[in-house]
Amino acid sequence: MKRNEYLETLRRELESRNIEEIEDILSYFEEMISDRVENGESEEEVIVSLGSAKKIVDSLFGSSDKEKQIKYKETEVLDDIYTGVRKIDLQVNTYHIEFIADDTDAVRVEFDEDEYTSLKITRNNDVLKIEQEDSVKGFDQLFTSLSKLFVGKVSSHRAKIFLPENEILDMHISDVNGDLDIHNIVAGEIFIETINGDMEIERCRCGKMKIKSVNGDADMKDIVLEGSFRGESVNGDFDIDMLKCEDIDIHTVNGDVDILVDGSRRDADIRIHKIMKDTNISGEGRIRLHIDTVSGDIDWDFSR
Amino acid sequence: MDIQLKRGSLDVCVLASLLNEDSYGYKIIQSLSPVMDISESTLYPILRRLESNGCLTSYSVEHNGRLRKFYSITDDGREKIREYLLDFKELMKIYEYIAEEIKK
Repeated sequence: MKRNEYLETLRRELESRNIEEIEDILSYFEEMISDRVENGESEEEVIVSLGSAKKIVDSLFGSSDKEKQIKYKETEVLDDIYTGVRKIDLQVNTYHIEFIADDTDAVRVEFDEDEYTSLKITRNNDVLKIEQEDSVKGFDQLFTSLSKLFVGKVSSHRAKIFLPENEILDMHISDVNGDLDIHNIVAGEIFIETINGDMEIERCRCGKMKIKSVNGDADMKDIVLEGSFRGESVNGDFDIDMLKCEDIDIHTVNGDVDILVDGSRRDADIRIHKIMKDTNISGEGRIRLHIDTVSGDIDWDFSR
Repeated sequence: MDIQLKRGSLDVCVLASLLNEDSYGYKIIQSLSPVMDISESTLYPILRRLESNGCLTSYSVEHNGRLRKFYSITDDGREKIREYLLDFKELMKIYEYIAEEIKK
């Protein structure tokens, strides 16, 4: 097979899988073939060593074979079980959890599982309890802690939890290593405890929020809080961008604190207790500030 | 080697190959080949990821009547290498602890 023929096969394979960056990929491989030929290999040799177009696309985007793709296990039709839920009690270890607002009135959970890990869902009155069950306890935790140190991020399993848009639920989350994404959720109270999981909380509205973290960073954007926020961390950073809040109270040893309060209608009382590292605060409106620090820099910027 | 561990190391290796001069795909593979076998289709997503993370930038240069894409490391890329080395130090402590306990 010649170069052009090969690239054409690759193009067709990419097109058949609706991949967007086709031109980018083709010019990358075209350059590779040219460079290898320029360095003395024959075109045939190069093409054979690159492997089939299918193999390339598989290794770039994952196998197209259905059974090899991540399968989300959808809970059976459980409308009668998951409607009327008032509180979610989530306890996970390595799962990366994504909360998604849904326009139904039931809570729905989708997750991928394997022989070692799965989620167990139980219901007690209006409390829905979602727990991670590890059949090989300890090992998974050690493995993820080590690989987290080494490569930064590891979340081997993912789960999506769909929450009804018009119901106000309380969320209590206890997490070890998995990251949490909470987007577009309206909640009564959100309590999160985590060791290493990073939290991304965006466009949420809730009554009260409390985060306790050892190493996990909390990244909060466009949050409307009717009540107070309390954050505690050892190394975790707090990057907070609030549209509205009552009081903010943060205790951290080594985490960076970055607070932006925009157009808060009420007086907010911000208290920060820090031992080290820097603090940045900016905002608008009348805000009472209370900062205790041992050795950190403090910057503030209020438009009014 | 565990795939996740390897993936993180690969990213940093690719960045390190750009520390002293800008480079292009084929040359990156060549310069990494004594340390690790990395194929063209492994390198592509790494370059994409590093570029979208702001760890490197790219530009095209004409070569023998065709375009060759060069990659250049950014300050964020250098920072990533630094972080990796710090993490690695931490991991070495764990390694030494485990090795020590085995010896006892």
